Amino acid sequence: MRPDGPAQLRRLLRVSPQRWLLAATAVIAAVGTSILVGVTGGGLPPLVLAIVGALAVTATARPDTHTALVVVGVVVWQWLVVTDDPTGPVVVATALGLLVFHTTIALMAAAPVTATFGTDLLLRWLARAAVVGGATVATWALVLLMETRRADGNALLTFAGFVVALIFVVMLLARASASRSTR
Amino acid sequence: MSTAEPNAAQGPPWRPTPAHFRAVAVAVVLVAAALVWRRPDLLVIATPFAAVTAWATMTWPRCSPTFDDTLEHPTIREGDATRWRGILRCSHGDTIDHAVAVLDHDPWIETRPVHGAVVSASTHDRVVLEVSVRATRWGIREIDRVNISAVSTWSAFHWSSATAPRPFAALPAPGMFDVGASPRPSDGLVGLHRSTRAGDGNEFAGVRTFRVGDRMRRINWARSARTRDLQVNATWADLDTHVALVIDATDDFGASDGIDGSASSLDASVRAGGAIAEHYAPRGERVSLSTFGARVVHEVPPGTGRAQLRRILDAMTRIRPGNDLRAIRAGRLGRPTTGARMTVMLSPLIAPEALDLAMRLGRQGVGVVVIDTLPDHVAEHDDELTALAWRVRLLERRREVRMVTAAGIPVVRWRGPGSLDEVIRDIARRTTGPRLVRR
Repeated sequence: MRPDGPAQLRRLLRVSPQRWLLAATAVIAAVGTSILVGVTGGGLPPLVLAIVGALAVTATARPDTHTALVVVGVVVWQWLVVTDDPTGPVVVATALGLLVFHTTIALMAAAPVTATFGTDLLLRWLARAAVVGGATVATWALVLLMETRRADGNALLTFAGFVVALIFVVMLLARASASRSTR
Repeated sequence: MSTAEPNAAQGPPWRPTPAHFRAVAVAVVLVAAALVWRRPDLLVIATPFAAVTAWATMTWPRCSPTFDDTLEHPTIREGDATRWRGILRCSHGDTIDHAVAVLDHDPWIETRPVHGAVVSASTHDRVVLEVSVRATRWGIREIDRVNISAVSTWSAFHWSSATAPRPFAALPAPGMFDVGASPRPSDGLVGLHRSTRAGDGNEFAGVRTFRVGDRMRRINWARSARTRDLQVNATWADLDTHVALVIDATDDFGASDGIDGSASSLDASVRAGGAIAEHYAPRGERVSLSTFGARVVHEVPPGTGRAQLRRILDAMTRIRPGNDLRAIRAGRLGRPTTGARMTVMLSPLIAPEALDLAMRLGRQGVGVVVIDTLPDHVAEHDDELTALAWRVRLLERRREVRMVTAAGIPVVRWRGPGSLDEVIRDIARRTTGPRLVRR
């Protein structure tokens, strides 16, 4: 049975202010990425924007479902359809936008709507996202490098570079966990 | 600090979350698409998801977490707070990112953080979760269950469990009560036998070490100076009085908003009874407790001291209105008694049986005081017919109370300190004269 109007209002009032902020961040990240892809690709269908917005809002309301996966899928599909410059700076902005969306939804899924995350926890997640963002920029730099050298079959080479970047991240992680255990 | 027995919870193993599935799915599909369609841009978009997947998989906790929770104080006063504390442990080296505890509780409990949800980051191999719990009404309060969940890095893996219900007692708030008059019947010289109990009195019992609560004037300075330790003169109690508290728990009238708001009839009865017991029991007077009409009849036999006070308050926390009048009809409370006894009946006086009982006790020669605990707001009702019915019943009740008062049983409103002074003086005066007792 669905809760009635006043019950839903009471549920909304219980939501912590931080939760509203996280939800806004996730929605802005998804919609902003979609707008960026659309504007740089030369077309911004309002329908796609509405779909992304509606799905993003649903994903923030129910972060422990697969709705967020559909949002990422729609934005990637939009990218494939409209983009003219695959290796321009928009690609890294898109990747980082999707990273912010994914991270925020993952964080929201880990606690009830009434809970508030401490500053230490938020800084921890921010630091992790920064490391992953750095790896993304590194991969994009590799793609640009191969683009300027006009290397053929660069997907495979890029994949190799991607694996190298991944190993670099893993090494960073290993060092971080080693320092944590010695503390 | 007393600590309740810990609950230990051990839940199912770690399970992947939708967030992990999302990261893996996007990474795999985009990397495959990039290789098949020779699109390096897709590889760039896949990078954050692949990195998150790798990171989360590397730090996948393989331990089986254990969770212990305790309540700092299993017994508190209403209005006071205690702390629920849970510790989630995982074997060394495994990484828990953070844990969440959500407390389900009855409506007479307030928590901080509000709504009872707390998130705590892990430090080393454990997570400490703490929630302040405040009981806003007397009674047996219960933290129904605590839902615990923990997540690994990037919320990729999830573990959850729940604890068993954890009840705790919220004793009635220490109400303000003082009385100047003595209820002791002054039958003249009692005899050569002194009281068997130590307490306030004139008969010297001995010298002992000072204890908290001793009066300054009892300090034996000469002995204290010699022993370099505070010593007091102990005395045998003078005539003791038996204060019998009788609580009417047939029903609970009026809305209760807990300690911070309006009080129902049972709230007023229990708090007033607690205040009276708190006044008399530690002073060496015998205090007993009986209830009638409750779901379970509680009886505490007469006794004195702080332990007796604690027994009475504990029994009060378990009172539940039951609308059961068999106890009165069976005459358990109305049986004849011996010795000096002052019965204090706390009742909203809605059930006529309560006044009948007071009349019966009065006829037996027992000093009876009836404290009216019906709240003023009881007749205020949104429904006009209900409000009218209440007004009619209150008129009838006024007539019944007049009849009882005319029979020599005082009925007073509870007003805190000094509420009973006048009536207790009356009772003491009456007991000095000749009495007609039905045998």
